[in-house]
Amino acid sequence: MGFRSLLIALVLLALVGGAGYPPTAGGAPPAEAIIALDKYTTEKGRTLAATFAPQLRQIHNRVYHCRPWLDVRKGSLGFTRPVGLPGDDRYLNIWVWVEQEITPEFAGLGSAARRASAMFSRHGVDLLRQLAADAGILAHPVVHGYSVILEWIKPTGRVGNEETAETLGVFADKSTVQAFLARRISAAEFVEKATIVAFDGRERLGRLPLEVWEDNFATTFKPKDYEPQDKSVGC
Amino acid sequence: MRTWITRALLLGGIMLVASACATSEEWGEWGKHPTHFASGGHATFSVRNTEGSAPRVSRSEIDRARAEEWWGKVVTVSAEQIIQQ
Repeated sequence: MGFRSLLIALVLLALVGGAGYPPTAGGAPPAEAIIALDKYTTEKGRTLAATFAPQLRQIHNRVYHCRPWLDVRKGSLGFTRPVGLPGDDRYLNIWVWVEQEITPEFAGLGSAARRASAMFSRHGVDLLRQLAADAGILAHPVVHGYSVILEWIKPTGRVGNEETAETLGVFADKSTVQAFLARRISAAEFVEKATIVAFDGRERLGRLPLEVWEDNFATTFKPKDYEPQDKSVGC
Repeated sequence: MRTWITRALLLGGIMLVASACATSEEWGEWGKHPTHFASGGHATFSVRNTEGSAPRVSRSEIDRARAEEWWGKVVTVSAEQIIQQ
């Protein structure tokens, strides 16, 4: 290959490579993030999802455009039930990946419980508020509660070429969530009443002693120069 | 003719690379905050936000930027371990 050919090849490579496609990360589009009706295993879940389809899209839109540091996991937004609990109680669920830098401060929290507490305080409470915002879902007698699942990279969790994620799931009935968000019960009471699951990679941890504190990050932080593409969501 | 094409391509490539580098400082600024995004460079963002215009970043650009520096394989729980549809 001559010098000119090599030069042209390099320039073309730069031009093509600069496009940055296809994305392998990023939030799932609504059609993938929202659980498809045919995926529900019971009529109860399917009916709720069909009834509240516009609300599910709205929740996804708000998270996608107003919380760009969160990615809704594929097939996670809808009316699910927690594994291991008897019956078919349906929770309005959202499962997000939290995109963040592992700062020394975060890594320095030291334990899975502290990291989970920090993540739930920062992102979980805000998401619960978004889920509970719809009066129709709140009033619907078949909806049992709300659940938020957060997932993030574990500091010092890298093994070879693989990172390890930590996952926290919090499930609570509607009245508990309502009371907590309205400050009628304390964070400690909320935690006591909630079902909490946590994982280190694929390994299930015991019930974490979750603490919840005030964190206004979600409502005050705006990435530099970021503008929501869909202005109608009203971030 | 071939010389002209080569020069044009070379110039285009240099401009693209230069513009991509120019924004690494802007993206690096996000790193000062507890939450930021993985990418340090983003060509589409760079090309669109030229000097003199107010820079704007959209959600889809963030997604693309993340894709550029995605973590690779992540060991994590499967959905079926926590929720049932």
